[in-house]
Amino acid sequence: MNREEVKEQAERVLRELAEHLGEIELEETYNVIQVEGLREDAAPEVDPEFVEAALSIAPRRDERYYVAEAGAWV
Amino acid sequence: MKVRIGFEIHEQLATRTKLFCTSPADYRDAEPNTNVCEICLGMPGAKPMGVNAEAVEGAVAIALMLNCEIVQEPVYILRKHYDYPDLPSGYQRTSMPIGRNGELAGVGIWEVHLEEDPGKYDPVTGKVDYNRSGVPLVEIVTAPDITSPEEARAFMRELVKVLQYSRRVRREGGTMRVDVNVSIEDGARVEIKNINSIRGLYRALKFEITRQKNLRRRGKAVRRETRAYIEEQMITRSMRTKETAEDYRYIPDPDLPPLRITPELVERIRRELPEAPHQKLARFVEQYRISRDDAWAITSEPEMADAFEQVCTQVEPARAAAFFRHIIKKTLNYHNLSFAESGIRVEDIVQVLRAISEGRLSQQAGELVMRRVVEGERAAEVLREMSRVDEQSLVSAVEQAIHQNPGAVEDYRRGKQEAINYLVGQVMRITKGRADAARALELLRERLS
Amino acid sequence: MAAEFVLEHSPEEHLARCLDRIEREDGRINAFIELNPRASEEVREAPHGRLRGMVVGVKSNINVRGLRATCASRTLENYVSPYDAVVVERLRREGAVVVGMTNMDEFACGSSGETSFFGPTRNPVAEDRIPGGSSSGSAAAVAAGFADAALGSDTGGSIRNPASHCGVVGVKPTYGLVPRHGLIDLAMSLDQIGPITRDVRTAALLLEVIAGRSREASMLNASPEPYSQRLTPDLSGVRVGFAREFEEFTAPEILGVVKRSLRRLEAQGAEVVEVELPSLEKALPTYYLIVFVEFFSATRRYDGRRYGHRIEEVCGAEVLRRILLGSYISQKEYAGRYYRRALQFRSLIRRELLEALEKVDVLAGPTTPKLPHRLGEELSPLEMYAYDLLTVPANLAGIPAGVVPAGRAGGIPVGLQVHAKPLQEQLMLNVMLAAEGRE
Ligand SMILES: [Zn+2]
Repeated sequence: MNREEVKEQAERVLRELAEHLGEIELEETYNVIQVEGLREDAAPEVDPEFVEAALSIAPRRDERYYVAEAGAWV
Repeated sequence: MKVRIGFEIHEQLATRTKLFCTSPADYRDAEPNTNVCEICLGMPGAKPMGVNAEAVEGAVAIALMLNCEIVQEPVYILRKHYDYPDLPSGYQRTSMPIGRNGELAGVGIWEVHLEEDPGKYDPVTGKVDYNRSGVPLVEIVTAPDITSPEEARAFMRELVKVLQYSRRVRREGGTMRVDVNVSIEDGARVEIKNINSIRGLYRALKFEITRQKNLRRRGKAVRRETRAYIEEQMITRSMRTKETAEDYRYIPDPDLPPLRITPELVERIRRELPEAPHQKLARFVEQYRISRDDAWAITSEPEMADAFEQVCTQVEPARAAAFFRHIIKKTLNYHNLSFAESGIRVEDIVQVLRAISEGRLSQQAGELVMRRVVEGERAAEVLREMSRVDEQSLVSAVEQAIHQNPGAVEDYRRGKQEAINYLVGQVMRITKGRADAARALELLRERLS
Repeated sequence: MAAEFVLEHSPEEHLARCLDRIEREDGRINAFIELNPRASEEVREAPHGRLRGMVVGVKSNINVRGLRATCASRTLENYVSPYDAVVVERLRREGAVVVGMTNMDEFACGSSGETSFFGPTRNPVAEDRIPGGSSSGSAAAVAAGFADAALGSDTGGSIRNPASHCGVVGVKPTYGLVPRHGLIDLAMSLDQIGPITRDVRTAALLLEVIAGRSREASMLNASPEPYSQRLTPDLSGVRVGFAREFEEFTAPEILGVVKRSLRRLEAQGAEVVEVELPSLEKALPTYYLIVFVEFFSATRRYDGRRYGHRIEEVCGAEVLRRILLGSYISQKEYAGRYYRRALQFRSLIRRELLEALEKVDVLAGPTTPKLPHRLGEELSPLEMYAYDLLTVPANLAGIPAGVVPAGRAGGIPVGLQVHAKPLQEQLMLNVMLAAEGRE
């Protein structure tokens, strides 16, 4: 399936879903749980093994730097 | 033509860990990309930890010092989506306002909120360093109440002072970033990004206002756009226009519950709030009976104001104030350093002031001592060295000691080594202790050999 | 009752048998994307914990250090995980061994197991059928005896749907009970990790190991409970709700199996009560609109810079469709019409479910409205979405829901789905145990 077909199908999907939904007047639910989201600032941690493993999978790098180009998505 | 200027100011908060993870918030001495974990690298599957409470308190404290109301309702943390190599998740987390409707030096403060810093990207080499990614930032948004580059500069100096006084922001310097909005009359609003010093701010505004006025004079409309300040050339350059403006597709981050800033927390922070610069200034005038100008100079930095108060427990305030305002400030300006960076200690100041008041040191010499302190020496050593007699006087003191103590000279010549110590003691007596004993010994040995 | 995993053979021998079966049969089933080359070593070094020797498959959207978490997508084909998900750490600490990464729908976008970049998975119980999804490989691996258990993730039924189709047990816990750190997102406000096993007791044991507070922000402050020790099939005084809307949307052959299962619950002392869920039909569009937006947000990091491929350039049609729709409906201009409206309906559905659960202790009913289709049969997106009608409400409300084999319809397994109030996993598991009909 090419991108255009996917797009067309997506539009149909959206139309049908939205029609099905109908109108409503209620508060939005962003979180289903109510918790205290704070954390005490404490001594920092670093895992050197993780640091090396993370860098090692970078597709492009220059020594310790990731290398990337600016651009835009979609 | 009426100019309207508003700011968005970003400054790093001085926490130990980052905003959503336990990686170190201080990355200054770290090798590139070592100060990271899966969370601040935005790796697939990583989830934020709870928000760093210290950062939240910092933002509340700063909002209070800027006379804001603290928001009562839940503060959602939003995802602001945009695409840039320094943003490892493709979105930046930014809180809804924590404080609103404040005021500083006659300029309205629209809001204060929290954000995470992105990494560092160098567009020339393409190199990305994520050490900074996730460091907590406070963002302050002002009303467009400023009308000239000069006013802008004065306001920013005042704001920087308040931030320093809050003791919640990084003091290493160089971390502040400012975006500026400028419009003329009722023309389009132009945003300038990438400004990171007060001098840069002043120059960018000078350039931009001239540019907009020239456009108008030629009958052309100013476009609504975002421009970048190019530091090296002191100009601004177009980044994107309104037509291509980004839609950040803000959504509350589903991984983070909203913050609830309780009245109890606000009250506690308010109670513990440090004195604001203007309050300290007024108190100094009152308590130490010094002039407003002296107090203004001394309170330009919280660390300097603290040092002044400590000095005043040992030295008469009027003299201390004059020394701070004229000698210390001048020395710092000369070296382009802040008091906090200078390494000056309270004892250095006290010793120099004592030496001056006892007539051992001139005002000019005092300035010289402070310069050497800033360069890394301690005042006590410098004073000791400066008070020493010069070589010529030392030689004549040695001659005098030899002349007045023929017995000791005789003893030494006969091989009684201790006798020379007696002669050194005599040189010290003659010079009132201001001789370098080692040099005196050397000279005596030469002379008697 | 023992709260430990019991083996007939030594852990080494047991692992060898599982690996042998995988080698013989997985070429056909395609439950695994990658096997753990260190499994034999790890089983020797495994600590003597509650899961000592348990062979576990892990869905390919959960990070296991050193293995690829591909999400069954070309996008992450080279992503070797540098860290363990919290749940994986917890499994290892109790002596379980990760045997491999299981197949799934690409980025968990699908309900059939057919959208994987690594090819579809077969249903081991009915090999011409789909296994369901998106945790297709996890359910198939457990059903085929490749592993004792598997971890799946459930955003709108991705554990329960394949569990039902493959005739195994699957649990989606209360939102916030099991740490998600290490689970690659489909929709963050809905995703939960949960166990897939061959019996309720093992599911209970696995759940008590992986549940409980961690350092991530969106977690309930709940301590793990010893579910497996407290399991009982005695349902005296338990009120089981059955919504009349279930009947409206479900195929008769499935309803038949489910109703027989309800009678088994009654035999164990439960009272079956009819309840109403009038907004059930709104659950599907609500769910999908939220998923599109959250999934769009979650996929922004796959920009090609750090994992090799830009997602839009290499993903399959369903993933691309969701990204395009998410991008479209989260625009400032349209968010009110779609995304925020869906969040309002979420409030309505959640309220209705919680109100229904005020009247009864659990809700029991079918898992999917229809039986799994034949592999390769073409379905439109909306036909595919329709599989999720009965599973998405639990995710929208954040409540726990589990599936237990209830019987077969035309030789194809059918699972009974049990919903409970938030954090009532124990009661839910007890009801599942009673339905399981084992002694
Ligand atoms: Zn980190």
